[in-house]
Amino acid sequence: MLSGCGQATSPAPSSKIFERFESLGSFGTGAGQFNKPRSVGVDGAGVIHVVDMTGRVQRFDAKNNYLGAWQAPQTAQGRPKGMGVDGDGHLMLVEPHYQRVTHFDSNGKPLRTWGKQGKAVGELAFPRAIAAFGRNLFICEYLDVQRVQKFDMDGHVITAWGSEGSGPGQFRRPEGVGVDRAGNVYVADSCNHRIQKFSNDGAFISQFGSPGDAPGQLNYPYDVKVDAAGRIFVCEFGNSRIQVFSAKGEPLEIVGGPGTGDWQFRNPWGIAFDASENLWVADSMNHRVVKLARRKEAAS
Amino acid sequence: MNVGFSQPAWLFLLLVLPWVIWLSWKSPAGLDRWRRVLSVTLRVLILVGVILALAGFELRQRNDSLAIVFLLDYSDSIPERYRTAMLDYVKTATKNKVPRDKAGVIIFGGDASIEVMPSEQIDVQKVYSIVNTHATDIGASLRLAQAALPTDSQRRIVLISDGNENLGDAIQEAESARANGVTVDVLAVEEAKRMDLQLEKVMMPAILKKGETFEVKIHILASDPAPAKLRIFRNGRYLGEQEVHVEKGRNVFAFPQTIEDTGFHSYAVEIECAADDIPQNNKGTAFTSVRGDPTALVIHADKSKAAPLDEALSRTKIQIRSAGIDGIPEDISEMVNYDLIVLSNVNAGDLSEAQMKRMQSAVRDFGVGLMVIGGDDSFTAGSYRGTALEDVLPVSMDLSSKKVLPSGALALVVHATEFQDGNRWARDTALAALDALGPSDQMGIVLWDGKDKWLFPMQPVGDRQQIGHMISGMNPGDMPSFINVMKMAHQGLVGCKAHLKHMVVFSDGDPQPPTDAEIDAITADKITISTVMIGGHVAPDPMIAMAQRGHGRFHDVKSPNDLPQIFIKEAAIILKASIFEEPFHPKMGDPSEITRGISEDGMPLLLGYVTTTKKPRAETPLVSQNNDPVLAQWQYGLGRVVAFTSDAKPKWAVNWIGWDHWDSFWGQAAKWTLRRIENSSYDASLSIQNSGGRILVDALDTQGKFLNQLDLQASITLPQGKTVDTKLRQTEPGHYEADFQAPEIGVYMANLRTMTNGVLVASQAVGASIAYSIEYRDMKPNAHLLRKVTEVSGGRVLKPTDDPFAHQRVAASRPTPIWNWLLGAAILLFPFDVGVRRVMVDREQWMDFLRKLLARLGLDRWQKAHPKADDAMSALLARKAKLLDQMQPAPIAREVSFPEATPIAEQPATTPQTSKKDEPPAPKADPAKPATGADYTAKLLAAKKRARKEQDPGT
Repeated sequence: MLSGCGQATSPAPSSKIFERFESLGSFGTGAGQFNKPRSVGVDGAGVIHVVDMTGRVQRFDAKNNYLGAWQAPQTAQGRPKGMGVDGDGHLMLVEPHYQRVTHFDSNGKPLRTWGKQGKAVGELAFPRAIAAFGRNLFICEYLDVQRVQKFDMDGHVITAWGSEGSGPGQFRRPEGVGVDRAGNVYVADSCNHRIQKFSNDGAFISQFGSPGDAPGQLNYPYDVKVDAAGRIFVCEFGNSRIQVFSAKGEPLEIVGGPGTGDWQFRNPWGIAFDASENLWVADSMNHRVVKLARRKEAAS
Repeated sequence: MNVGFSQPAWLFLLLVLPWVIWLSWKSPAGLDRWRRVLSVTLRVLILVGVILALAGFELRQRNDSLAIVFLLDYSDSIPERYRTAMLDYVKTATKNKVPRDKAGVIIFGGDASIEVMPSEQIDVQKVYSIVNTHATDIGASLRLAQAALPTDSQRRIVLISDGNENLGDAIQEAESARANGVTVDVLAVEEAKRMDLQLEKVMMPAILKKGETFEVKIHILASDPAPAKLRIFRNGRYLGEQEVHVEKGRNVFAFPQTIEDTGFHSYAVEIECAADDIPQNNKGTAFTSVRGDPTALVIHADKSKAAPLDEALSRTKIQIRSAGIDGIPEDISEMVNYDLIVLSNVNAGDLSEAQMKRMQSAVRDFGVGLMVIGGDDSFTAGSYRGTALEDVLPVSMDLSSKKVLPSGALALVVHATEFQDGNRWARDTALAALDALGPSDQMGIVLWDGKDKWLFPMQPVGDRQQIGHMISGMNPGDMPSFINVMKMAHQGLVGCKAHLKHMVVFSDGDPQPPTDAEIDAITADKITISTVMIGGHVAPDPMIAMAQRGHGRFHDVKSPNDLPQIFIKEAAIILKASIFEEPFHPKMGDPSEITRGISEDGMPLLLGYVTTTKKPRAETPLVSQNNDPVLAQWQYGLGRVVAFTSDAKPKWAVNWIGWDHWDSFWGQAAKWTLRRIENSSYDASLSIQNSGGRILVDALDTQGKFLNQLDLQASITLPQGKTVDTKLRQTEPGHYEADFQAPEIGVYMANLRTMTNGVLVASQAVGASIAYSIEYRDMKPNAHLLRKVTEVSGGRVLKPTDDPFAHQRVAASRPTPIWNWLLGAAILLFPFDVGVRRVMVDREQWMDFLRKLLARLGLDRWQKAHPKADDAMSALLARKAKLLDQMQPAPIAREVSFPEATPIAEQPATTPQTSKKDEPPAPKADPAKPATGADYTAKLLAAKKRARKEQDPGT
């Protein structure tokens, strides 16, 4: 049980995938409080990490107990946003405005930092999100260069793809990246209101989504993650909801909608799965982190 | 758990209980015994409930936890490294606290801010609060801490400070804290000995004659002897520097100076010393006034076209200083240096709000003349509307009385930026733009608020109150893309019937920009786009590209303070509709010294002017064919102001420049506008100490005799342009004083006015400057004050190794007020009390009610199924009724209370009786029974009349 972090739980109204909504935190700068959390990540040890507009990375255990926090060393240009877990189970933190990625152990100790500022392939212009598949890392970028780059664990570039535009393989503000168990890469192409699917080497495979709020439509998708069963979970910043798609891109379920109550979100920014495939949501404008607890029969 | 009262004095009301019981018991309510007992009991319960509620009855639960709020002094007198040490102390102290103890953090300086509310978990990595570091108000922080501390535990404040209080009263607040059960512990920040050179003051004569030699005296306080370098600046220009050696203690260095230019002059001095640990207090400024020929400052927006005007003005006896926009004086001390300030085609956005206020004060309070000359970026077209500058001018920018003028439309696209207080700045800038627009102009704001939306669609500004309210509540979000919001703004502008349409995008630059084609679609509809980037944390290229392609301007804002002025200038883009750009012959209007010797005949054509409206008190010596002001003049406070709404450049005035009267027109205009106040020559000074200022005047006549009973008044202009008026009091023969608040850093100017019978007869300017925060004046910790705080509050002085959670722990009790429950219970009981005393329900009625209720609930079947029981009951009841009849042959008398009336002769002396409930009402009045209703009242009135007749037969 969380102490002092304002946790609340609520059973699912109708979701076939999630059975419980748990809210963690409240607005503020104290321990266990958040100011517009924008990314959430769960490392291999099950430690939940949340980064918000204070530039703090706060850590919680699987029972939502506050473990501690560390402050990003530089925030004058902008705060960190974007987290993922590398092949060793270590948390990776992306600092877009400082063009770098830092790996941390489960105690919050920085292991290594890499990234070189620049627009060339292998350099980082404005890295926004990161995901790992085995020993490979995928980073999406926007603003000066709209692309996805594939690195090895030491930050050596393997390949890169993408340009600005609306065609297949082009991006307008790719905000999130995820991978499935087969190594396919999914990109939340936010301003094109779609999800694009690529092979592990960047070959375009498919896309789904169009602007709107009907099932199957998307409004500024900011993050995408894929569960073990191949279902695609899309965090919709604009529609303030999580939309679940089949592996073929067919809409399966919509969780949430705009609001401040249980089973509601206000501009959710990032999502992450834990080992039990519970979905953690950085519910940014509600200044909280939400855990959508998986139904046992739905867990893969 | 025990109980207590928050307002125990109310318990004295319990003393009235016996009286209430006696009164209730004796009340002639006609109740039987058990009803009387019940009624009295209810009344006692109600009364006790109300009294306990008033007394603040509460349940108290004992709690042995401790709550501490740490107050961290972040004022300028605390070096940066000590702030880190303070935070480390909090971390250490809270790390080992008992889990149930609570800790919070408040940051303070001149004000206080809660960093973390008291809670059981605390982990302060970094301080986010922003406070005024230029002052120290310990009292304010103690007050806030008391409010933040929870009431259910022992409460303690730990003050970490150097005790250098310069605002508020810490001792008084500490006393108040003790009264509230809060103790204050103190951890003194003891600074290691530091080398400090402090420039105490710069002194020079307040009034000088042209060419007179005088000394600039520099007073330096040094903690240790050291070599130093003194640099001197006059009116902002570097004069020179000199190596000196300062000794420990007070040092005075004097430099002889001579000033050939008349007017008001400032001297700034800086000390440089390599060994100085506190360089912030090494500046000082002083002012002097040199009497002589008048001087004028002429500001041109376009310096390349300044010659015709400058030459015309130079042919007078006025000393002219011509400058571009960057020459606009920052301080009022420099403004009052001139007898006349001329602004030629200057946009309001080129002056800060404070500069405009200072200029207003220079004219109104110091008599400086102001001449504003037009152009396509001035007056209405230069966003003067709603500014202090408009207030000074004899013309108004309100064109509502004019014939229909083409209006403009401005759409703002507002994005939440990541820099501190970004949304507040967005609101302030939008309000600044709103203020600059005219009532018929249109405005709309598009933003992201979870989705792309209009805060308010394009609409006429009107009285701007409603729109202002909406902007004040605006809270834009972090939009992902400009594309949709710009499309919305585009559509909104297309739908406007406006002459000029402009879009301004306000952002930190990271949303997705539109494509070139999308921007071209906007500009194709004759809409211009400007972009304003603030707190940019990405490359500005997309914002620059949008502005370039949108035929607008790009502003890379480094300081949010610049934002309102930028938006005023952007708003001016759509205000060009107020420009009348056709050749016209000005017509002569009111007679004026400015147009003396000039006739309408032969006056060349002017090619344009900016439409304005004459203010009621103003005079307009020249008007256009539409009777719009071309030349207007008036007196504003002590100063004179002229507005010329055409220009003085080879654009609209191209035909005037070669005109015979060109020089005389501008010469006469300048002479009329010049400051013309007689100067007094008192020995006057203005000084600033801590947060207070003082004016001292020694008034002597030419024979050296004291001037007594003078009516001396002062208008003091504060650094931000606000003006304070005060009257000087005479404290000694010929000596006058006045004190005022001086909370800001910067230049303070005072105009001393000598009044006779309410008429100004002379004036004199004095000034002083606070060059650095008062925090740097006295850096030595005030241990006495800190110790006193602990003494009066019952706290203790801590050492850095002390654990503030460990000592003097006492259990506190947590009160749970229940007065509201008591009051609720009393209110609920009240109807029962009334019911017991006023409502009579006999057994038969109860039985009847129960029978009907059972029937309605369908339970009468049970009754029918057990007829024997019912029969038995009926038999019993009948038997009982019979026995009662036998025992009481007479009708049962029921005690009914009637008012004691005057005995009436006709009234039968029988006891009033009531009928039984099951008896039908009597069909007609029975003389044997008391009269009821109207006939009874009629009889009473008749008896009363008879009685009066008997008493007064004459009537």
